[in-house]
Amino acid sequence: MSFPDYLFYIVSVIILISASAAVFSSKAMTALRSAAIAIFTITIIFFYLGADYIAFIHLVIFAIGALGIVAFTYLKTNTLMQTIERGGSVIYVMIGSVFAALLAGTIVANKWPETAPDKPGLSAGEITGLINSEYLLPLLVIAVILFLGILGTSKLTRKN
Amino acid sequence: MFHVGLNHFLGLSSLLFGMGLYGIIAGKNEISWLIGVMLLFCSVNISLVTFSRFQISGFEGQILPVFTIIIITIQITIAAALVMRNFKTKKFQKTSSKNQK
Repeated sequence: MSFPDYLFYIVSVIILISASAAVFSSKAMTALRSAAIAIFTITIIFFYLGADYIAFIHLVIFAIGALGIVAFTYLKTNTLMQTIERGGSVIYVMIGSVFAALLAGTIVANKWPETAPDKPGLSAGEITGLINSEYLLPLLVIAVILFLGILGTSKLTRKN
Repeated sequence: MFHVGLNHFLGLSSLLFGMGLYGIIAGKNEISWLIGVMLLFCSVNISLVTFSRFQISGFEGQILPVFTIIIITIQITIAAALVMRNFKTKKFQKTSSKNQK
């Protein structure tokens, strides 16, 4: 095994431990902290796969932006937040495990290539070039959705 | 066996998917639900980039995550706004019931 392989295993263990801590924790602050570790560590996986642009977007928009919004929501509402006690937790674990097992079974059943080609992923310039040419319509649709999302959020959170 | 291949990335992705699903259906508060959704979409993005890296899906696998990340962030923002509105309504109901007493 080479150094990148060791790195992948270490990062994967960190992701799985912190994600399970985020999901199984009943305290919202602990869950938030663990989720932050998991999502920041997932960025390393994207770097490992040679997708630097995706890694950067994931770090800036998802890890800092979205997680920041969730943290802000928690800080604004923590005084009234109640922990919902639910029964049948084993059933939920089983449902999650069944889905994970189904996906893992699909992976094992297929014959995938053993090693990745040496060609690196797309550069930032190539991705932006493709988005501005071939994927312009999805970009415009997302821009409209983003605008509607901003309007909806400001309407939902206004004082009156 | 220990050499990292496509199976390892997809295995990690499927485990994250299972955890995210558990977080959504068994989350004990609103923050857990939001975290579950985030983990679900992270697992999908890992799969997309992996398929692109191993040249199974072409380069679309590196462009689609850009759009999914933006869409998830919009969803998370709206969900957070809904949570805050819900708690504001609860707070208002609490204070109004106190004033009536």
